[in-house]
Amino acid sequence: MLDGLFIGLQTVLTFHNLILVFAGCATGTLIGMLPGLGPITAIALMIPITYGFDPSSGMILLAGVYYGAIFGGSTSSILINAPGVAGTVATAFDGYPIARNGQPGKALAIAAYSSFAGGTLAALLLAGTAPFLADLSLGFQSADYFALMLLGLTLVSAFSSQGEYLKALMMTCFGLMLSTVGTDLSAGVQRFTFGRMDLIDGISFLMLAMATFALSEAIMMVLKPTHANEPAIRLDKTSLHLSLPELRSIVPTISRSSVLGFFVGVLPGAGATIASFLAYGVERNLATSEDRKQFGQGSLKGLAAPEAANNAACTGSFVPLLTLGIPGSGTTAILLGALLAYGIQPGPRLFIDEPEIFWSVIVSMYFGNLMLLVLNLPLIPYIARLLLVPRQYLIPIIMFFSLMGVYLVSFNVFDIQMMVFIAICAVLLRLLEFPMAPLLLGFILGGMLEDNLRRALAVADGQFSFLWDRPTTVVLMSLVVIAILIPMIRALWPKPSR
Amino acid sequence: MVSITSARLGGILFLILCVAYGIYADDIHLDYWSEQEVFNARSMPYFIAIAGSFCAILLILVPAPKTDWSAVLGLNWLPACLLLVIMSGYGILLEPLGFVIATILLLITAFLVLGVRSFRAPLLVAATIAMAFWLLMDKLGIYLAPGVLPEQLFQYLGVTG
Repeated sequence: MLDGLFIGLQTVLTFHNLILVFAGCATGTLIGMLPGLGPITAIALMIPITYGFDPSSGMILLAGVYYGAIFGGSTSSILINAPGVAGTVATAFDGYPIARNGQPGKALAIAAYSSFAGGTLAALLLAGTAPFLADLSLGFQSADYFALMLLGLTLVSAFSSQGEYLKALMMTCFGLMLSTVGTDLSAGVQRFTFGRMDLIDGISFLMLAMATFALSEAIMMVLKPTHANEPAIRLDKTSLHLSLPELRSIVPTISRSSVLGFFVGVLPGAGATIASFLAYGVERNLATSEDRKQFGQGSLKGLAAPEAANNAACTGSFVPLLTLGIPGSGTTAILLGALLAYGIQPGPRLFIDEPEIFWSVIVSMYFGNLMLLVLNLPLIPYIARLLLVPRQYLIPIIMFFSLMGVYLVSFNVFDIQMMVFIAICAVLLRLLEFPMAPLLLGFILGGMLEDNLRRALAVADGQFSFLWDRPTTVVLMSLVVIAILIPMIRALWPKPSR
Repeated sequence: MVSITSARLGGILFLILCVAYGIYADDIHLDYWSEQEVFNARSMPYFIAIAGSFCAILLILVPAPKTDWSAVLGLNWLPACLLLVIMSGYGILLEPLGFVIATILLLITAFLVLGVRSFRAPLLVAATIAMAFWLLMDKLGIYLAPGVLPEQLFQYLGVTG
């Protein structure tokens, strides 16, 4: 492990890569701060820029963008009570009241310290557990991978918010459908191309991500301008200082929430949202009756808990991505897409074949958090001025960068038309309250799922007995069945409300 | 009477999509040997169509909270639709007009659609963004074509050969 960390440090600690970490954090913060735009959009917008870099540098930049976007989301939660992403909704519960009480700087400082601590602790846990898991998964066969991918897809739906389970499953199927468009490489036949040359290579994941997240978010901002007129709390003369007793009071909260967040993040599909709500709930239950009254009114612990947990969960979500090649969330799905675009196949072999990428991602997470604390926090009063830029200007600029991000990869105007069409579908689906992340996950995993199923069937002479031939597959398939059945029973027979 | 909720409407549309997808899966051309295989290029689409249809039927049948359609209809549809048309128009005009002119037009019309009143500020912002982006791409060695019409105009004026 120490050798690996050394390789990672060597890769990250170059002037070029440190600049990329900083640029990633700053850009991620800027984008993540805009309500509605989260890490997926931020990463999607940045991917075209990374095509010119080597894979390590590309991933370093994107990891920085990821953390920056989460921190930016917290900033908008605290300053205008408009969470950029679902993962920072719990941050607004106490962050906004603290800011409204005249201490926006303190709220932002707690968010930054908690995020830093959560991210750092989780990076250490990741460095400790990832090589072990990667080693373990080296023994996985196609059947196990098939079962694991199925588990990832079903868990994303199982962990979706109440009442959305069937919708999430449907969106996963929709993503799988889109992944079959193009040439089936194993058979060399075209599927669902309708005779169009532009579809022979399939739908680009970047285009799908941009259309379903960046473009559709921009259109949703126009359709529902909810927070457009809410004034941002100004940060011109605010103190970022925290007293020692205040710091002492939140340290145990941060430690507990970081560990909890990390392990929740490791679960495919769970992610930052569940981690932050869970940590908030745990801290509220552990608080003394006096402290508990403060929750929702501006409790420091109530702000520290979700912030530490969501950052730790973001790091935790890299465990299945780096060790098994399975993304557990929409954000890691898009990172997987980026890795595949660089020609890198994540999974247990990544740890052996490309250790510099594996370890540089882990080390860059730590440096990303450090950058956020040391450089981004003092810059927040200036960065937050973005919230004052009128939406009439921001939305078209987001649209332009989204369109260009896709066009500059293919130089094909058909992609622009296709993107607009997908954005229209995405907006309509959002209005019908269908979640978008399972679509992206289904799309990214679709090809791999099919390949592994084909291989497993070939090994088993065309028999579906591969599903119960190996203990690992049996365990994973049992979990798949549980992940499908329990939420489905709940959806079909909901508990009568009291 | 069964009310149409957002879940039910989504379920119906998705069921139609799954059925159409399953039917089109039949059109995937397979050679004789592929057809004999247990798993071929049609298999996965069939699985997806069946799983998707099952989910869609459940979604249609499961009771869901009522949807407030008046809230959906009362959204800012006009500017949103206009933005989509503008983006689509950008795709059509990018090659004939070239990057700079098409981008300036895209941004200005989008600013105006979203309620910017003056014309000078949008023009300034749009021109700055388009030119700065074009110069940046030029520096990075990425060629963005000037467009068919400007090229012809320059040729007519004798600016280029």
